[in-house]
Amino acid sequence: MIAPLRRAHRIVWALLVLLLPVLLAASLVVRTDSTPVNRDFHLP
Amino acid sequence: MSVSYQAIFWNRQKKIYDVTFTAGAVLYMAVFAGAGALLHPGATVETLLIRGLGTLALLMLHIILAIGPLCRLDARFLPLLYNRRHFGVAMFTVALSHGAFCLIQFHSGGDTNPLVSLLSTNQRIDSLAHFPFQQLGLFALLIFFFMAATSHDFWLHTLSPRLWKTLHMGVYAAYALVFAHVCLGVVQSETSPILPAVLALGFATIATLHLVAARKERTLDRLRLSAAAEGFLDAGTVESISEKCARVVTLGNDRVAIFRYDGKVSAVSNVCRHQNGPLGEGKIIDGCITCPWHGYQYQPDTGASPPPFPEKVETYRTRVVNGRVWIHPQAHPPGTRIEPAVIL
Repeated sequence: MIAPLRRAHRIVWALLVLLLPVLLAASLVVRTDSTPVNRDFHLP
Repeated sequence: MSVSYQAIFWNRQKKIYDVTFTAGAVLYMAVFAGAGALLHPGATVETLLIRGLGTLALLMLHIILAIGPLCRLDARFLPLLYNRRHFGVAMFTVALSHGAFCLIQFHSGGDTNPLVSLLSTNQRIDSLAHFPFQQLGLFALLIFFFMAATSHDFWLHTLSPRLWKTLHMGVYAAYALVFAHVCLGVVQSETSPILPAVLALGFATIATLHLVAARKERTLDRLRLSAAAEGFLDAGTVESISEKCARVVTLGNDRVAIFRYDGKVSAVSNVCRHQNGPLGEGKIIDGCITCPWHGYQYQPDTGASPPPFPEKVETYRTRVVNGRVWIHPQAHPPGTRIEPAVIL
């Protein structure tokens, strides 16, 4: 009766295990410093 | 169990459950705001609230997602499942508060409608680093709203447990959206490695729990009983079933709970009519099979709930021969009385 639901759960988690780590890794790779650079500012 | 609908059917356990997670949420916010103010004296109250509520909602979502597989793996976690819907509604409320504060903080200062501003300000879907992550959070919030709005037993009965469960699997889509919301939002603006590490740890924990629980379920699904005379199948020894408890077997696509009680054996569908809970993991209490999830009860010989409750499950014929239990795979209509097999 609920075997299809169990199968759907397995498929969903298999997909999440594949997709979410890739997303996290990609987000870390593209991460840049969001602080605007002031090219005219120089420390003494 | 109830034959009529109430807004909330309060009992002592639900009150303890709700007070516990409310106290935990208040404590978390106090610690987060206190520590945040100490570590970042320049942080505004709005920022602390937005981040505190956001991380609290994320933590609550992880706990909610962990409850299901934990209960499949260890029955000691069942009390957490009992009132999970209240926990879910509370999580939605926290997430909504996070979203509302963000809307006020980031989108209410101009002459554009804040919601229009939220949906139209950033449209850089071609850039991962500048992706419109706020919209992802909004879409997740809409799914949580739908789930919270239909979390009542009225919707469970109206939609049927199977459809209701299927629709509430939307929580996984919402989790993926929240995960992306965090990855493409705060992870982009914060250079600290702590947040990505915690996010990864949370996901690894939840995914592992779900996959281990799924593997356990699949093992049970793949067990096939050996056939015998007159269509009956060998379901093991009587001694392998504890008194007032059940052994769960798989017949085709269905699971059946074989209960042993008072020198007799009866078999019913393993699927509770309320929320598809596993009846075979419950016990016989006061002469009735009692679902371990929410306490719905069924008489073992008829599969029917005691009056005045209307729930019924399918029943199966059983035999006990030479200390072994035999079961016929043909299900009888819900509520059909089957004479229990006597243990000689």
